[in-house]
This record gives sequence, structure tokens and C-alpha cells, in this order.
Amino acid sequence: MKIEFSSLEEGSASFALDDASIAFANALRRAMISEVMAFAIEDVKIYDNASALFDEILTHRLGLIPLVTDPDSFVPRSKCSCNGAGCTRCTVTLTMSVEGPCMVTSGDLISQDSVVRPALDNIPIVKLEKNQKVVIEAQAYMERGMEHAKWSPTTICGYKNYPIITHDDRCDGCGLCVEVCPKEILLVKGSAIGLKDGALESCSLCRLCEQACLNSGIGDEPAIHIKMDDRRFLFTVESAGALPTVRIIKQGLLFLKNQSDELYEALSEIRG
Amino acid sequence: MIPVRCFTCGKVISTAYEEYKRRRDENEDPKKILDDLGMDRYCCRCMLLTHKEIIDELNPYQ
Amino acid sequence: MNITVLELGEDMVRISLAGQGHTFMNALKTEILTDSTVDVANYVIEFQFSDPVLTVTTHNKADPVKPILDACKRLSGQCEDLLSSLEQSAKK
Repeated sequence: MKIEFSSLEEGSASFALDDASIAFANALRRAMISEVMAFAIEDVKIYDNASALFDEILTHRLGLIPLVTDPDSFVPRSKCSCNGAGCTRCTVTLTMSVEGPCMVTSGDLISQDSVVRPALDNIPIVKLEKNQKVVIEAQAYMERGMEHAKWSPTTICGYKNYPIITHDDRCDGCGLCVEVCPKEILLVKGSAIGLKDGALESCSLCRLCEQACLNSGIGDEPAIHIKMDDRRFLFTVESAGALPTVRIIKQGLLFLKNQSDELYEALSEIRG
Repeated sequence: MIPVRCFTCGKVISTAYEEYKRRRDENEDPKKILDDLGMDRYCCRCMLLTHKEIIDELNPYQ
Repeated sequence: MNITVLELGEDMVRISLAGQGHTFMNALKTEILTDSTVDVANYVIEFQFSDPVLTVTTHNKADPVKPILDACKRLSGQCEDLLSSLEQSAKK
């Protein structure tokens, strides 16, 4: 098995997963969405809220702010030695004290930790008028995306089969399929159909080109063939901001590896 | 207030609102603004396009 | 991992895996099925809140637990391959 990136940035990545089963690809996708841990605000103490928003709405907005996460230097609360009470190994406290008139943004949150802080500083939280005030203390910890979507490190995370586009010698380069392709990846090359450079991966397997080819009266079979490689997958992963995309993929793989190692150990123990 | 994230995909969209509002009030084409702001998906685009800001109307009432 | 063997026969085993979901179980099931000695490998999550129960039966009274162990090893190896491949291609 192999991973080949076709694009890799901090916020989004797309890669091909080679020689894998559908089950494995899906396990990786599910692991990245719901099993990779990230920080998010969960408990908020509200000392003063004179804004137009209710406490609950304010807290909900705080919870959705992505916090930069360092999975190596923190432990999840459920596995922490403090038994869920909240200590410095699992919990980060953020404070905010703002007086209007102004726009309260995520940049106003002051974190006690140097790493765990809002990923973006310009997320508006609430607009304050003169004499309005918001004073809060918030506790953030790591949890799985399965618990609540705010803890999920991904926004877009999905895969599709790798497209295989071929044509047989009945193709006369009429260009009907070129016109109909919504992703505009086809072109006429001499007397046959070709692909634009590097455009293959944007094929959405919609098969409109096959339809167009059939409509030209070529017979029962189209001359262009869209197939999918069922051992090769094209992943798209987009980060919400808590973790860089490479780290999300790595944590997802580590989760699957840990699970199989744990099951192996538990089973061998029983067998003795 | 503009929602922090897109309801559908979870992308943080609230950061784009200030600029979107400013440029929209200057009568720029919303399609171009959204493209510039990196709103690729129609779920995120719809969040900005259909938002009505009412915080200023609520603010007089505590 | 917390597992309970519900049933163990000559050619079949039923195991309940506490706290597992579709994420890992489906990958595991598919991996077990690639073993040529395995007849049936399947898991059932009866209700949303219940633990999955994995059933494995084998041909010719072969050991039913060994395919599970092998599948775990293979999955773990695949993940390791991918982790090193990820590191390499991310550096480029």
C-alpha cells in the first residue's frame, strides 16, 4: 500500500491510496472524521454576559472555534489520571474579558497554553455596544469527533475510486463527449479523444460522456469507457484548522494500527 | 451574528463575512466576492449569501 | 481492548468487542475474509448502542482464532506501510 499526494497544503490535501480494499479506505475515512482527537471548548463559566446573545448561544459559538491542537503533549480527558476532573495534562483554560463597543473575536481569547489557541484570530463571536461586557472563562479539552462535530478535525473528508478513462478504435474524435463533460477534462486529439494534462483526477465518474457517445448513434456500446479502479482511491481531506492535514491522516492511520494491535494482544492473551 | 461554521461542511466561514458585507455594499458581484474569499462549495456560499444580520436590532433590548 | 469470547467451537468463534464501531470492524471483517481457510466472517451491531459481535467460521475444522490474529497483524502492517509512505511523500 502506498500514499501519493497530488496536492498537499496545511488546510487541504488530496492523495491517492494505492492497492487498498474499499473497507480499508472507508475505515481510514471514518477514523479521520470521528476518531482523531482535537481540542475544542466544552465548559464555559460566564461571569458576565450583557450582550444581546443568550449564554447558550455564546457558548455554542465558542465551542465551534477550532483550536490548534498538539496531540503529543496532551492526553484525552477520558484517559487522564485526573479521572475527568480536568488537570493541566488534559485541559486548557482560556479566558476572555471584553468591554464594548467593539466586535468580540476569537483573538480576544487568552489561552494559558502557548500551543492550544484559536486557529483563526478573526472569528466574530458577538458585537457589543457601549456599556456591554462579556467576561468568561472556558475549558477546552480533546475529544473524538464522534462525541460532537466540533471535535472533528476535518471538514471535507471523502474518497472516490480512481477513474480509468479509455477509448476503443471506434472513436472518431467527433467531440460530442468533450462538449458534455462538466469537468472539462476531455479534448480531441487528432481523430480520437484524449485527456487534458493532469485532469484525470477531477473526473467525477458521471458517465455523461458515455451517454453522449451512445447518442451519436455508435451502437449499443459507447466508444469511450469510464471505469473505476477498485483498489485505488482518491482521497480529499480538508482540515478545520485544529491539525494540519498530514497530521490528521497520520493520526487516523495510528488509530487503526492501535486498534488492530490491541485486538491482537487481547486475543493472544486469552489464547494463552 | 453570522454562524461560526458552515452548517453543512463545517468550514469556518464567519471570518469571511466582514469583507463579504463590505464588498457587497459596494455593489460588487457576489459570485466574484465568494470566489475571491475561497468559498468553493455551494453550502458555504449559501451561508454567506442568505445571512441576515440582526444583532444591531437586538442590541437595544437587554 | 476489552473482548469477550461468547462461543468457541472447533471451527467457529463468536467474540464481542466492547466499544468498537463500524470503523474498525468492517476493515477487520474484510481482512479476515481474504484468508483461504475462512468460510464466514461477519459482524453484527444489533442496536445502535450495543457492542459488535464478530463471528468467524472456518473450512475443515481449521483454527478459527488464527485468521483473526493474522488479519490484525496484516492490518497493523498495512498501517505501518502507509505511515512510512506518508512520511516520505509529505517530505517531498
